[in-house]
Amino acid sequence: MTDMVTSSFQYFFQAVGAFFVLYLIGYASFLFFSVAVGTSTLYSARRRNILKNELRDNYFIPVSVIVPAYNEEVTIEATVKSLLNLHYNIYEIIVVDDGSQDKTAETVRQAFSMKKIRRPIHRRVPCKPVQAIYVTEKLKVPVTLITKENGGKADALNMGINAANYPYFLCLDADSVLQCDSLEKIVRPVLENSDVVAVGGAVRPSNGTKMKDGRVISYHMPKKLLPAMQVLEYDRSFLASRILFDKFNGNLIISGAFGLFKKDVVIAAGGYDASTMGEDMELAIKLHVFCREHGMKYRMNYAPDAICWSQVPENLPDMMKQRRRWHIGLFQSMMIHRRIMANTKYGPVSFLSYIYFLIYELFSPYIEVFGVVTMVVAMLLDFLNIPFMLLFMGIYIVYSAIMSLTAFFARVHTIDLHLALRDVIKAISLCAIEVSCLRFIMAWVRATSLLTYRKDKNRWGKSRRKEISYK
Amino acid sequence: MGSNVGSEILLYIYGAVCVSMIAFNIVYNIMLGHGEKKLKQNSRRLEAEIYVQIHAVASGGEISADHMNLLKRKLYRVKNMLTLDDVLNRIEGDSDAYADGAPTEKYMESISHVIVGLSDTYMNRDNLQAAFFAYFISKHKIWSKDELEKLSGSMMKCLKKDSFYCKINAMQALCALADDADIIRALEIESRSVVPIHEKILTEILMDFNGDHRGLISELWEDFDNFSQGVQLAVLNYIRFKSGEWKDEMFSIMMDESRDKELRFSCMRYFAKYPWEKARKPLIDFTLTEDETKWEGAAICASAISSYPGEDVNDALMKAVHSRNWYVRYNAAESLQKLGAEYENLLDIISGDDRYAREMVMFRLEEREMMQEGGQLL
Repeated sequence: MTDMVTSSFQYFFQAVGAFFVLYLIGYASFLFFSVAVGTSTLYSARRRNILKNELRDNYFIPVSVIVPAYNEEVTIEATVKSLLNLHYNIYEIIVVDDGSQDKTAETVRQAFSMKKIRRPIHRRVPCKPVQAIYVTEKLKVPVTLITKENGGKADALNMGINAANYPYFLCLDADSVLQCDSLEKIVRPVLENSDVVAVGGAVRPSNGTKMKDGRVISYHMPKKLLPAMQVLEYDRSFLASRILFDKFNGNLIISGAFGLFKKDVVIAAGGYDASTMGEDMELAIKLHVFCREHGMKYRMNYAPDAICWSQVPENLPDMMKQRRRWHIGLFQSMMIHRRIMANTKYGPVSFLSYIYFLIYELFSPYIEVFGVVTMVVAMLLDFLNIPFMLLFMGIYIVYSAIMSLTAFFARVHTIDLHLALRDVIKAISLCAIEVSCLRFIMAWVRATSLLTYRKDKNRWGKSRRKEISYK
Repeated sequence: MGSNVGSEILLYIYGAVCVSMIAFNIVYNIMLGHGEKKLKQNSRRLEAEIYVQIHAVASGGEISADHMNLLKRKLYRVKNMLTLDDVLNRIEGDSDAYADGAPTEKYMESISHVIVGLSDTYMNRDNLQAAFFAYFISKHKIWSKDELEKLSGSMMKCLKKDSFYCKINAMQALCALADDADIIRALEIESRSVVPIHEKILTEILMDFNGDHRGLISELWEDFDNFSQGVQLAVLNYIRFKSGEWKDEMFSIMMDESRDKELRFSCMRYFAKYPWEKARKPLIDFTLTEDETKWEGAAICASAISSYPGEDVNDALMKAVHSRNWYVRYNAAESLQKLGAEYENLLDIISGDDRYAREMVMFRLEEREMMQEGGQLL
């Protein structure tokens, strides 16, 4: 009997071990390919720019920049000022105040001398009613402020879409600032190919950045450890995996912080879903589904040189709230569109992108937590080859850390950004901690996020905002 | 035992990948730094040499034979072409520093045969280098008649390459070389392209045509039906920005129901910019169409007829403001505002039962009030 129990445990741990080896081979291979493809794409883009293979002259398509805001009185003025500094000719700015409890609307009204007007809005996608509309007179471009009943970020974006005058809209978070060339760069894929219906930009943590007149004048890794680790994480995500997915039109996320969309296609697809927390991912998948089901020739691109600087949480509670929200949003988006899984009609989006997100994003927290628990149990039952395990984990951590560093160093080839020696040292020091400790903490946070799904599904939580250094 | 060995092998493989990536990062960044340093050193020598020759030519001298030979050797490499381009741009950017303007023109005239001699070489290289050569031709425009023919041929070759930037830079170069027949040929090639240039870009490129626009437009009309629909649209938009002399041709397209609707819309916008009595009634009729599938044309015409002041237009706009289509109402109200309709003229709408029409008109009246107070239209 004891032998039977012992051999059962042995088989179980061997099976779990084999599963984890396969799981980690899959992830490590993906990481390697994405970093290799991402860095080589950036190096090619640099050579292309040097050899004047770029749109040098002023080619513009009209864009409506939509800024949904909820309790953003600290950052909204700097965000709108950064938008007024864009080197772009034809655009408008629409700030949608989603029933803020603070002085967001008042800040915008006073900062930009706005006046109330009864402007009709063409409601093509559903959203909560308008309370008031304000406009400016004498700024570089039209600026509109719409205050409305609270309905969530997706609802605010839908209001912005309804109010937009131009055929393309850009969604931008209210705690983010753009560089002076960001709009010009994110629009470029649309000019290169008129089948493009959405373009995602690169989001970088702005903690530690100073900007003036739309240019970064000072950049350092954030002083605090948590945002510094997020810099590595964002670089890995934005400079690696998104470039890889872009190669086969398989991006499932167009960042909600900075994404350009063709308005008519979004409206035809139904706009943002106000019942989800991950409205950016839900819209991106919805656009894939809509275009494929209607036999439309389309592309959703990623522009790695179109940069948006966004604040990241500086303390663990705020970061946990954010990741919990992201994971619930991921779950909702994957569930709403689960019919595309392993469905030949949807091509690589189904077989590659959806399956990757399912295993390595949605299920990964549970897999990783299960892995840790199993390891502890195996150790207690003396089934664990500890030296081998330590070697395995060590190699895995070093491997992931090196991939992160490769993606981080690829930014050397980004125009306008230089690395100081202390930033390099900080990055090297933190990368191993980021891929091990922080990753496992976030795995636990994400794994438990769905336990309170019903209670939290439409809650945002409060994040502390810092004033953006923008002159 | 077997699985342990397998796992160890796997670990060694990933360990080797780690070491390779570290080596790659270190070596590549050293090479990049070293390469950039070497490039800068080489560039400085060539730069200094070019500066000396440019100033010699500016002072009435001639380019030395040694310099010509140097250019023939060096400009085969694209990095040296980049250096030359950089020097020329810098001098041209600093033209205020020179009494007779930037001396680059005389220098370029003297070395043009060297550049032209390189065209076949660059066209047979990769797309990036071919596109750069086309950019260079478009930027530095001093060529003799014989050279123009040779360069046109190279640019046609560049236009056919499977690269967006080759096509853009080649089109720009052809517009800089300013031969009408070449532009027509280029547009015919572009019409057959699988991934066409965006019509906005094409229009902007045509706007930069370095020759006689009137002559080019005449030729474009002759060959108009040989172009694809996208190219036709770009051409119509270009003509709209350049000249009001082609009303008959535009009218004919606008009234032809077999034509693509985007082309007809472009013609409607043409008559908004260049009012023509013959177009008045058709524009009013399009505005008031009851066919809901034609709302786009109705909306454009509701805006266009603001260029045709008169009772008939006012009456048409008063009706259009009640349209079932939001955009037609919006544009009609805007046109009424542009034509100076006052509160008293709009009383019927303001006190009427149509809430949507009332909202539109009130918005425009408020907007005008704001404009008068602040001095800028929204």
